[in-house]
Amino acid sequence: MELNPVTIEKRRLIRKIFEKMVVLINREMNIEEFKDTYFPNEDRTLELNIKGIEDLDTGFVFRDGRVRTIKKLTDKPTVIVSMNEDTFIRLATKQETLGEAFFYSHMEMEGKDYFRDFKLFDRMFTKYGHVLDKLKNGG
Amino acid sequence: MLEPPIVIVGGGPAGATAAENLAKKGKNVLLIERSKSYPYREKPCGGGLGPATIKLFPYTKAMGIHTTKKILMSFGDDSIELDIPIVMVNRNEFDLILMKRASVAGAVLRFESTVVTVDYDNKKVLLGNGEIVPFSFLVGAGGVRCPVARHQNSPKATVPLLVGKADGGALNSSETAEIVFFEGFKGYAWVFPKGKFLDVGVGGDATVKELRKRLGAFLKERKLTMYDKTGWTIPFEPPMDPVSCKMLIDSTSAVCGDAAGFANPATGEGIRYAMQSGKEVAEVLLGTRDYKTYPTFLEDLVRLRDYRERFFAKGLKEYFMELKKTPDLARELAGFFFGDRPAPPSAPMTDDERLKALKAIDEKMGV
Repeated sequence: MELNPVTIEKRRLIRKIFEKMVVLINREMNIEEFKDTYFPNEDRTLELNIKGIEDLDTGFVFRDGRVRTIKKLTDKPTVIVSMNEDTFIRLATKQETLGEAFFYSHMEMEGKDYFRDFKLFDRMFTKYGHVLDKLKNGG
Repeated sequence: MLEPPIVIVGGGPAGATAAENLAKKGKNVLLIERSKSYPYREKPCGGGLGPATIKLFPYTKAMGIHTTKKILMSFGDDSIELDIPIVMVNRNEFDLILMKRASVAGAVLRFESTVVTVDYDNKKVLLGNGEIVPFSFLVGAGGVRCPVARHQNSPKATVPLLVGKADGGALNSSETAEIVFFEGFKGYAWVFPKGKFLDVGVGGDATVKELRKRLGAFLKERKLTMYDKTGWTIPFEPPMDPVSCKMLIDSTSAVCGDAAGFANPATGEGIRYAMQSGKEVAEVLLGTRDYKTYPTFLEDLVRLRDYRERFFAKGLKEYFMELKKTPDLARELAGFFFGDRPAPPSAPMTDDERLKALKAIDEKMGV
């Protein structure tokens, strides 16, 4: 299927945002402390799917206290989070919290113990504001 | 010739709120209540007003007999504490004060009256004493067994609850209200301190026999002796199918409160939705609300119902343990159940808006 220019550009931007997110998460968030608190004895693999563009590489592997990749995961991820583009944008611009997205079914989560992963996304997107402050203050 | 009154069946929070709001705008209102005026009936109910009720109806705060500051949700030996205040009320006093407010506003109250049947075509109700009363509009607010609701085939799904009082000693004036969950039970038990006694009960998706057994075991475990024990049924599912939703209001009648199936499907809280629906029905009749917007909270109830199902489908124990590990998330989620958080924006963006937003995010990330 041939993609229209707007879709191609959206895909390019989302991919770029994910790449930047990985850099910011590793640089700005204290993943080590997070891991000690929530996942002391395990590594997690998270996949964030944007509906309609599920084929895009948006997988996170949290291993040894760092985010390793955003490639599509070959193994079944620990947790899969799915949302549409609008929810992704609203979360990234703090118009909506992850709690709201979860409660109002603007996103779905599958997997075991997903509340702890939810915490990770929560920290990434809103609660602690490290990544978001970067977004708001232009890095 | 005077227009027949708006007849309201049931003097609980829904009916009394509708009556007060209509009467104070000059409408001719007749409220029919089956209980005696004194002693007024005690409605089997936990009798707790959450923050949303107080926010919507601030005058109810002064009607409390005790206020708790926290909710302790427990499951087995685990618990989660939430900073949510609950204003505790005695339902017989609370309901009677609401009725008095309606009376002061000008509504005519008729106690010890029951509606036997409704003639919708001729707009008349037949009372238990044989009297025929004409109406200009009929409001059914008589709980799940309301005759108007029966005629309109609503609500469909209810669950039983058993409730009573117990003397907890110092616990009677505790600042913590407790909600207790059990494995494999879609419901909960509660212990609500009310100053001079504890309001204790259990409700959920089970038979009355099963509830009795569960309540008995719970009281034994807590070393409590219950008195004034009684039972009732409350709505378990909000009206969701198009036919039920269409039956909520038309040009002749409306149902509100428990009679319409309006109770929080996750917490069982009914007073807030009863009062809100009573107020909104009055607004429709006063011409300040489009009937198509009645009730404004139906989507919220359906969402809470879906959330409840997700909660139990995941497995209570797993869900509870996860929430315990993420207390700030538990607090946020509880806010949706007990508070009054407005829904976030959800209107779809256009492709151009999406593109613009994504470019802005990308630029601001500055990596």
